[in-house]
Amino acid sequence: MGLFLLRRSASSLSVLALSVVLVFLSIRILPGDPVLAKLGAATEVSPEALEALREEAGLNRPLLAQLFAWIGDAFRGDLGVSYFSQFPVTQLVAERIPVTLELTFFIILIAIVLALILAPLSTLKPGSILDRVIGYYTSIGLSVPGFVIGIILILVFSLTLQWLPSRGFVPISEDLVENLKLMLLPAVTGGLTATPYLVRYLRASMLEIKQSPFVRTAEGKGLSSVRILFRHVLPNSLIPTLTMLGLIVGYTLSGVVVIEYMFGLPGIGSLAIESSFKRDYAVIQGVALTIISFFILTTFLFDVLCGIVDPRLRLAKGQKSEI
Amino acid sequence: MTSALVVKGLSLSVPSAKGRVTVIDDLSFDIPAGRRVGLVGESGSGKSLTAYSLMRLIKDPVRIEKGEIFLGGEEILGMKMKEFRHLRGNDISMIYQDPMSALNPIMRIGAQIVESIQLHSDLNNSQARKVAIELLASVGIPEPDRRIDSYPFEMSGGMLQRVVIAIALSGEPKVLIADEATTALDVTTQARVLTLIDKLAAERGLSVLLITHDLGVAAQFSDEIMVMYAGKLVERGEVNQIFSNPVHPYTKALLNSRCDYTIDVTKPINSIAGQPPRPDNRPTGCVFSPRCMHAQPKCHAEVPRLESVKGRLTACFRAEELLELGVAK
Repeated sequence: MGLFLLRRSASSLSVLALSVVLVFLSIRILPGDPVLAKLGAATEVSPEALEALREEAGLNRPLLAQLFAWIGDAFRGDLGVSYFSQFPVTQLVAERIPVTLELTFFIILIAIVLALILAPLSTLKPGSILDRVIGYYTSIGLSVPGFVIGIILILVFSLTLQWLPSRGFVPISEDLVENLKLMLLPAVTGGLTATPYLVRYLRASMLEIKQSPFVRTAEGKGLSSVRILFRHVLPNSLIPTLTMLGLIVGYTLSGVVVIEYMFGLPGIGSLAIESSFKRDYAVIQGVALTIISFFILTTFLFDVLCGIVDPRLRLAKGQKSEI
Repeated sequence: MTSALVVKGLSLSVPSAKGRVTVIDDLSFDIPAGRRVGLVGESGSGKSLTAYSLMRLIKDPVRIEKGEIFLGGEEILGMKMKEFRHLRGNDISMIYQDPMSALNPIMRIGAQIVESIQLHSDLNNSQARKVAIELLASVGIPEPDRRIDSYPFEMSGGMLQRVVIAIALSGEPKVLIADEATTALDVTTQARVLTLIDKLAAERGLSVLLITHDLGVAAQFSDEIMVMYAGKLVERGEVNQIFSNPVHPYTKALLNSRCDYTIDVTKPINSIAGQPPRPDNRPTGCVFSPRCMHAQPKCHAEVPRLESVKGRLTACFRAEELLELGVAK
């Protein structure tokens, strides 16, 4: 396990470094910069003044020098300041991340609960009407983009029925009920998008496990099919599904950008969009670093979790004996 | 003598390009109470399908077309699955081919035995655990009170097969089916596991159906032998009859193709010419007729029935004739 952790950490760190460098360079290669964005349509600025502003912002230094300066600061926990608000990036990210984490938590919760209901139901009798209905749902869920689901939900639940607000955010610390009300639609939107992946994966995994000789042994004992499904098939299918879940959590963390923007949630995703429009380099980099770190961390955590849940991985060393 | 198990006219089919074709054809036999019956035949002859039929573990696409199976006098194929589940593991149970994959890999072996014990009794957890430890001890697992908390991957194949046997015995069955129970094990372990099944069957008065392609195993273990070919029973008799004086040409051929490691290894191994028929291409008449060196026109036209010939059952038109030939030789 120790060696595994070490090797896994090394590869995670190199992925992190590579992607951060990639983000750093790509936003600078793109046309436009923060100075232009700040001045907006003001055309009367002379080229000399523009140069002076760029010089001041440190944008005229060689790219590599900028990169290493940023990396050096980052190691000291300093991600720079926003060119516009002059707030430290760490503070901006720290303010926004709880919203994103809460949203992701609810999305994953919905996905897990739905998957744990739908996948066993569809494998109880493969090819049954129930199985096919669930199959249609997953196909539709996979092909319809999240924002379409979001728009439909807003149309139905906030505009027509007026049950739920369509936009905005209240921190949990202020008003829990209001917070949950505002979180519901975005969480369902994300949940419905993430669920089909999980259901499909878990269903396929369960059907495969169902063919295993040990399931036949369980049948031979005289166990009921429901018991076999939940005691033998499901636990064995969950292990490969955990890895998949890790990926889904990672994708959701980075993919809630659209949902946050649509529902006006002040999460890290909307920060990413705002800062991209303004070419607020330091903020974009800070956000990218955060999202990538979370992505790597979750997939890593889920890999470790797999090793803990699966006794074959947990106990694989030392205890094996031949008697 | 009463029969623990009776099979009447069992037929199974599988799908093929030509529609559903028969793989087990009108199979009838019984297992007398307390006897050990060996079922031998080549791979694909339908031995395992027969075993799974007895446990009602036949799954799509294989289908039971017709037939009746009586377990202790009760017909089980027509029974509701809910009712039969109470007999499965309780009155009839099975030891499976590959012990390495026959157990849930992420469940402690104790839990897997306890689960079965509790299904067939009203014992609470700690009582069931005690019974499980006793069972493990009776199947020859050392330190059963420690081993009960092992996972399958922590045990060897031979030990795992003992666990599978313990599970099979946990419902105190009357009929035990051992489907190639020793095939996946190495030779020395094979002998030990076989001796164990032998001992347990004697102690508990079990009626056993031992399915194997290994004639040596069948001879060592069984009271009676049934020979199966292409989904049909071709011969049945006491062990010594079958081995010392087989009648059916297929049984003879099968016995002739045994490897004898004690004699010249450079000598080619005898084999039966030709191939067993594919299910979608079954011959008319006797199923063995295309490969039979004694076949006559009648053999290709009519299906021989299993008939009593000098104290054994043989499905061959020329049985009497061949028996005399065999005796004369």
